[in-house]
Amino acid sequence: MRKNKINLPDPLEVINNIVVSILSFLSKSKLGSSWKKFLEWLVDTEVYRGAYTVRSPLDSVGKRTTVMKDSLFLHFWPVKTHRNDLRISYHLGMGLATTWLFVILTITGVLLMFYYRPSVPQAYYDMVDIREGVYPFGMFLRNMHRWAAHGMVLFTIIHMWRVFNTGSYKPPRQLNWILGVILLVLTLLLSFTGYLLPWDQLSLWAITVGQQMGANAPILGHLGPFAQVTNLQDAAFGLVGGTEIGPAGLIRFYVLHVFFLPFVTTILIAYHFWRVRKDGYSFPQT
Amino acid sequence: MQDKETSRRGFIGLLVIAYSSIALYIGGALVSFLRFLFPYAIYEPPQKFKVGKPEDYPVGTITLITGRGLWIGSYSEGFAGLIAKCTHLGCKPNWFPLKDGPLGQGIFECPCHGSKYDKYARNFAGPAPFPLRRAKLSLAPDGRLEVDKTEVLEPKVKMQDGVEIDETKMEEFFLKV
Repeated sequence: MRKNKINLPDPLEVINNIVVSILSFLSKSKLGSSWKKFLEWLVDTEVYRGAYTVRSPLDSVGKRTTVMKDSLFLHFWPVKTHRNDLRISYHLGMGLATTWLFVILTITGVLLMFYYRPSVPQAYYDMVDIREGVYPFGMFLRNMHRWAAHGMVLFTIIHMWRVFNTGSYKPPRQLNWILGVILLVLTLLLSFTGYLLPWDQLSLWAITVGQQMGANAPILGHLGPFAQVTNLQDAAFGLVGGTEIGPAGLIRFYVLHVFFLPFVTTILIAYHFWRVRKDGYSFPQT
Repeated sequence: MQDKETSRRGFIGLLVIAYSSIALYIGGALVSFLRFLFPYAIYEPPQKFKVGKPEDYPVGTITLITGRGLWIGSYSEGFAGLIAKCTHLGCKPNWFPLKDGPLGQGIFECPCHGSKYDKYARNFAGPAPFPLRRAKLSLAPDGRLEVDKTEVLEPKVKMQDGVEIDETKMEEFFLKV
């Protein structure tokens, strides 16, 4: 057992203060002392000591910074925050909202994957089963997935509108603007690939329209300007896996929707956030 | 064993070889992944097929060949294989034999964005920019009509609003039997 005084990193200190004040309100001593014992045990576990490596008293800015930087969970937050950074009239909170929608979409999407089979005989009926209440909370989860998808497109656009209006795309943040544009495209592609999966008339013809856009792409589309390829080699074929939308197209869109695009998006979101931390906020620091 | 001296130039040469091998390896992998998405065979109906004898299609009828995305239009000018794919964005139009068009009864109408074509499949309303594409028709030696969807004829003549275009311009797009 360590004998020296316990020095708690900030978040635990905050939690401790809250809990201690509640406990002292509820009872005078007993619960308070067992809570203290629990904390003493917690900060001495290998897991905690591995996660928060700074042991010395946090009596300088440098040490507090190190605590933040050395922990996986704490480093998501900025080391210091200016009052203006917290003003919602500046940032509108749209990046955060978009991120949470992506989290919601991932969770609800994974749950939907337990029942949805991406093959032509089953896809539509699985979707109807989910929607019409065969599975508990099925309709709720599907609608949540659907509305969150609409919301993510909307909030991404509002987020970019805000970034544009506050001039946050200017140097040194130009790379993050480019990443943001790529993330917008990925969001739209996720919506587009998800659109086919219900496999009803609306999705079929909507994706036919999208396929036609691929066929009309310059150089890579067989109907586009400067076409260099046949209808069996062009971009639309690569997307749909046939000359028209069928079983091959459904499974392609499914794989893109549930694995490939979310994978790329997750990596880029992480990079996007990392750049926000490195570049700092753009709001006036006065 | 003594280390052999490597000159600076020789070292850079080795680096170039090493990095180009890695680039070649990754590039080859990416190309093969892309190539993987284009199969040698696809499970779709053949593009070249026979649709029966010319007598099966009396003049003035438009017959959908189910599962092939094609109508056989039979006109006094001859036969035409109309590809059931709207020239606007690729949806499948429907044939309405009783709706009125600029040439009297019978129009094609696309459910997606409302493009309309007359009975010769020439666009006269909606966003469609061109008449429907036509598959090449021929008469097989056994006397049946043969469709070749790989050979597409594009009558890129825009029909003026409500005004018929010159019939002779369409001549090459009909199969006379």
